[in-house]
Amino acid sequence: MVLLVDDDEDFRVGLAEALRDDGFVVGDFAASGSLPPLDHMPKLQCAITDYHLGNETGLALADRLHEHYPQLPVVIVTAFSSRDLEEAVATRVHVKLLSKPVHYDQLRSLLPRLRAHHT
Amino acid sequence: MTTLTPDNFVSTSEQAALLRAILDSAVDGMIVIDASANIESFNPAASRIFGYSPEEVVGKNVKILMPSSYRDEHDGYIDRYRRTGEKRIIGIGREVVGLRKDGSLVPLDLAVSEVNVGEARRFLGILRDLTQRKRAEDALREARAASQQRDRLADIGAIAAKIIHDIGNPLAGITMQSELLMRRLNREKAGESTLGPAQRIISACQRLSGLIREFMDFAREQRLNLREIDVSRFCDEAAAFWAPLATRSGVKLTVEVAPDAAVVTADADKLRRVLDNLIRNAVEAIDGHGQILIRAYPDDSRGLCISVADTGPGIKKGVEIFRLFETTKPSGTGLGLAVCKQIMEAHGGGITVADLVPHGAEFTLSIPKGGRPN
Repeated sequence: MVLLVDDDEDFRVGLAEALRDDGFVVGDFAASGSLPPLDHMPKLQCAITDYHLGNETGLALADRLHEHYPQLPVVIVTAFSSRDLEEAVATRVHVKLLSKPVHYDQLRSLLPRLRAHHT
Repeated sequence: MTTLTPDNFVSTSEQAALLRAILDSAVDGMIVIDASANIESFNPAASRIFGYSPEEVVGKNVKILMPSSYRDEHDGYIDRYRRTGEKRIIGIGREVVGLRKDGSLVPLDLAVSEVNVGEARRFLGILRDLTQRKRAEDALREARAASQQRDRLADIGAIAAKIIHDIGNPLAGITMQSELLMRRLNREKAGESTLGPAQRIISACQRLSGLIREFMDFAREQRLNLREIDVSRFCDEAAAFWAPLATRSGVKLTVEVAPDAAVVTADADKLRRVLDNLIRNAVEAIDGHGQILIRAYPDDSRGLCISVADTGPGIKKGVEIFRLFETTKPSGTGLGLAVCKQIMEAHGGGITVADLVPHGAEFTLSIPKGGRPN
């Protein structure tokens, strides 16, 4: 499953549908507060999250996810990245950062491991 | 305590000596003029201010110490005072400008008082050189202006960040939705009448995305990832990347690297971005056949220089090419060269442009030896 968290509905729904068109199972959420317990995510393959989540940052969510799934690829998308954020991301092996607007193909290319798994 | 007045002294000569000592030791300039404005006394402090010895000015009209703009004004004061007794400056201090012997101007605080001895009417001017104070005031004003400018730039940066964020988010949604639409239309083998508009939406989104990225690059602080770069390989790679476009455009691209320009410390990605920008501009500037020469060479004062010279039309007169939003291209954003300048300044170097004869332009990047620490 691809976990998708973003409060921008146009982006989230567009991306979720594109991924589903490509055969992925997608769980999309407007806020990280709506997520089910992180240790109960079936077949979680990847997470794509906005940086600004309101109650926490995408980076904090990535850290929480990595407590349960240390190898999970996490892509953080943001409409305004900063050097500090880029440096924080650079210290995390399984986290990638993309600046919005993101093109689907660009995002898709960051998920190479999923190609082997999707149905 | 005895009040020190000339009356305390027994003899006239003692009184004169006291007055002379006061005039000679005063920190402020003191000038006595007669009713016709001729200088009668000029103390050492006045000499220090104006650069004249007393012998050079005593007997001359005091206007010798005034710039031309004050001279007519001064005649008017004297005439009016003689006729009407109206005091415009007497008894009142004010700031004036004096004229030194060497022709330079000096800001002064001037206090004028009337001195009457018997029937003779004289005027005493006490002058204080305000040069130091003016310099301090100017420095303070400049520091305040610089501080205000910094605050303003910080505000502009914050506004830009907010706009970029607020446009970037919906644009991301539009981009994602239009790409989804395009993929589905392709899958359903839709006709050109449907694909065309969808493609145009995507193209518009891409243009807007590019613009936002350029704004973002400019708004953000340039942090460098410095490392040693093989200059020859660096220039060759850039030239190889642009060679296909140059060839298609009929432009010959040549690289010349001096043997002693082997290595430079810089942020390779950012420097490449600057070089790419210059090469692309050069190709676009040449209308039809032409040449682009990329040179790298050491310069004693500037460090390593990399120049891009083209045989295009050159830069139009009056165009400040590195200024934000300045562009000579019909579809240019005016951000590219401004970002280049920012990147080169972050390296502690710079970017310059010169016209070439008979036509063309040469942009030169300079990077100081050892690069600039982050």
